This record gives sequence, C-alpha cells and structure tokens, in this order.
Amino acid sequence: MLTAIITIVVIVILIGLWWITTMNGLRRLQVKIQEAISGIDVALTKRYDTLTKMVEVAKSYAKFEKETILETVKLRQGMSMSERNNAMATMDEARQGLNILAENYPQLHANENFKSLQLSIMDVEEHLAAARRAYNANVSQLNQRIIMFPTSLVANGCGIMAEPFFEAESTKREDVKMDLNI
Amino acid sequence: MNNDVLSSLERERSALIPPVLIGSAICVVAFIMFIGGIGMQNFGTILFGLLLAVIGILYFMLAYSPKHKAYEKHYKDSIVTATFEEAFGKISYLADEGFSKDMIRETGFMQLGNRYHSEDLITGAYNGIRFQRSDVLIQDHRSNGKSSYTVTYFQGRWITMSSNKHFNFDLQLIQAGFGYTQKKSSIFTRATDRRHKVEFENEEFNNRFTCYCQNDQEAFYLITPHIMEALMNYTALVNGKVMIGFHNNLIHLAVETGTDTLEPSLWSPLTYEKDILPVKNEVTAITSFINQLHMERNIFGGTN
Repeated sequence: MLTAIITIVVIVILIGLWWITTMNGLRRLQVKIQEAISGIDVALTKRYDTLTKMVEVAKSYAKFEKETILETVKLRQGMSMSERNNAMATMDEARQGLNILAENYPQLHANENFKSLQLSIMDVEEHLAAARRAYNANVSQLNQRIIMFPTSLVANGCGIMAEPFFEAESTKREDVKMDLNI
Repeated sequence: MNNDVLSSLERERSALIPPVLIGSAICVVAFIMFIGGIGMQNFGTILFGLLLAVIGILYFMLAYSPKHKAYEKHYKDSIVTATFEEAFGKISYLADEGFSKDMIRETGFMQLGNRYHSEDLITGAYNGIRFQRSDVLIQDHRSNGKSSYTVTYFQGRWITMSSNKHFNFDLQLIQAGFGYTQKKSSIFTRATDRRHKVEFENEEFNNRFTCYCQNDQEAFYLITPHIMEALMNYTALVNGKVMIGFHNNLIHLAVETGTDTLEPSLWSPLTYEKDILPVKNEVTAITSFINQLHMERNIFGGTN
C-alpha cells in the first residue's frame, strides 16, 4: 500500500515538474515574441522617420504625391500584426515611389543628403527584416510546440494561444509593377 | 615567374642538406662514443664523445643555421609575401609574430590550454575590409605523474576582419565537428556575458552550424538568409571545420586545418602544388569569405 502511495506521489511530482518546465518554456517563447515585436516596432518607427526625411528632401525637387500616403501611416503601441503589416505595406509603397522619383529627377538622385538617407533606410530595412525573422522564428517554435501532444495540454491549461506570423511584404511577393505616372 | 622562384629556392634547399647530414653524422658518432665510453668505462672515449658533440652543435650553428634562416626568409618573401601582395596589394608580414593569447582569450570563443603559439601574422585589406591572419596552435599538455600526453585544441588559421555591420553583442557560429570551443552558455557564466543557442529558419544551416548569441535580434540581423547560404558555400571551399565569431565589431574566422602552413619543408623538393598552392589557398580563404558574404556592401552604420 505504502509503495503504491509513494509511486503515485513520485508520479504526481514528476508530472508537476514537467508541467512547470513546459509552461516556463512556453512563457519564455512568449517573452521572446514580445521582444521581437518591440524590435519590429522600433524598426518600423525608424523606417517611418527616415522615409519622412526623404520625403522632405524630395519635396524641394519635385511634387511628391506619395507624401499623403505616408501621412496615413499610424504607428502606435499595441498595434496588431495586421496593422503592422498594413503600415509596412504603405511604407513600401512610399519607398517605391521615392525610388522612382529619384530615377526621374537626377538632381534629387545626386543629392548627398538623399543618398545618405537611402543608405540609412537600407540598414533600417535590414534591422526590420531581422526583427521580422526573429519574430517569425519564435512564433513558429511556439505554434509548433503548442499543437504537439502533450505540450498542447499545458498550452490549453495556461491559455497560451497560437500567434500570427508577420507576413512578408506583399509588394515583394508580387511581380514588380512599374508606376511611371508619379 | 613561379618556376624561377621555385628553382632558385630549390638550389638553396639542396645546399642545406649536406650541412644537415654532416652535422647529424657528427652528433650520431658523438652519441655512440659517449654511450660506448660509458659502457667500457673509458673516460677518454666519453670526453672525446662530448667534444665531438660540441663540434657537431657548433657546426650546426655556424654552417647550417644562418643558411636555413636565409632560406626561410627568401621562401617567405618570394612565395608568401609575393602571393599575398599579388592579391591584396601592400601587406605587412611578420613571420615571427602572431595573435596574442590574451586576444584569443578576450573573445571567449575558444578553450585555451596551457600551450599556445602563433606566428605568420599578415595584415592587409581587401575591398575595403581590413584583415589580419595568423597561424595559431592551442594545446593542452597533461601529465598524471606516470605518463604525459598533449591534446591539440586548435591548429589552423585564425583570421580577423573588420565588419561592415555594427553590432553590440557577441555571436558565435560553430560548424559541426569543430571542437574545444568556449560557448559561455552555462549558468555559471556572468549573465551579461552569457550566450544562448538560437536557431534560424534554414534547417540545413541549423544542422551544419550551432549558433550561440547574446541577443536574438542582432543574431538575425547579422546572419541573414544570404549569409547562411554564403557560409554553407564557404565551408565547402575551405579545407577544415570553421568557427565564426562576432566580437567587438570584428569578425573572427577560425579554420581548423590541422597544419602549420606557410613553412618551407627541408626534405622534400619544392613544387607548385606543395608550396605555392597552399599559400594561394590561404589567400582564397580570405577573399572568398569577403566576396561570398558581400562584406564590401557599405550600407550599414549610423543606425545602431
């Protein structure tokens, strides 16, 4: 009888330890995802600021209609992933417009300030891509773990849900469309 | 040009062999006389053996050493320096100097034994990227009182390069099979120095390399999909396992070749395959890394 009780107690303790370890692992992934989200937000803000500066420079050379598009971007804390996706897609559009504008206006293309901002935005975009990849890698790990049995029991018990991926920019997935009527 | 250089060096090498043979013969005779003298308890033979040994050593010092040094210098100037300068322009080559043990220790990337040697320090630049390379040997000599043995932790080339990306945290990529690294991932490592394992989206890359970093996002910033592909291609090009470290805005590339390169052999004839090709491979190890990784891309900085 005593042996049976000890066995049950040991099994319960082992299950408890496994539950705590698994829960901590999932929580750690959630923290990493939050870190990656803040990285995405920082990079998006930097990108927005740099694009705004580029627009300011471009305005002195040509009428830039994409400026109004950039004004529609609303960056705020606690955005959903789809809002971030939308913000990024809008910025992509503005960036594409600026590139075409620079090609059409050689003086703008040669402007030192504009050139330096172009380099700067490339680096910002590398940071953004890194943050997005880090986010997606962690989301992928979390989503894979919480659907696997028996981890799924812990995830359900703790209310840990699957997270959405940060999609690649739709403009990059589509064929390049040249808009020359800027 | 290669043939002229090789012929000239070959003549020097051939001229070195007679003094070595004569000096060795004197020392062998001296040794036999010394041992024989002890066996026969003949003091005169022992003394003569010792005298002959002194003559043999003096002969080595006077007839061989200066010629050997001159040959080695000629070899390094006309093969090593010439090949590197052909690829990189002006370089600095310090044959007797290398990376200090403290520098390797400071990176925290390798286990350091109790024996360390580094030589053949070459400094130059390629496509705007400054580099330094040196041969490094790290060993641990162990003894248990009865027997002793030496474990080689690392033998190969160690290259440092300036990075075109700015980074604030350490990152280490270890190819499968590269041993004796220091990962700094245990709980006993100070939290600020501690590295943790990170996996990327490329399964093949994760199978070939293990990455330890201090900051996940910076790891993804440094190791882009292109860099992952480039590193996998690079490992197919170089002969040996590699470890890549990012520390203090320098990229450290350690290639475990198991050989001490850039050294002339005395006993085998000089050939293009044995003497020039390995030096060209040393050059390729640097150029292909910089080219494959597009390190000349100057778009980074100022935003970190």
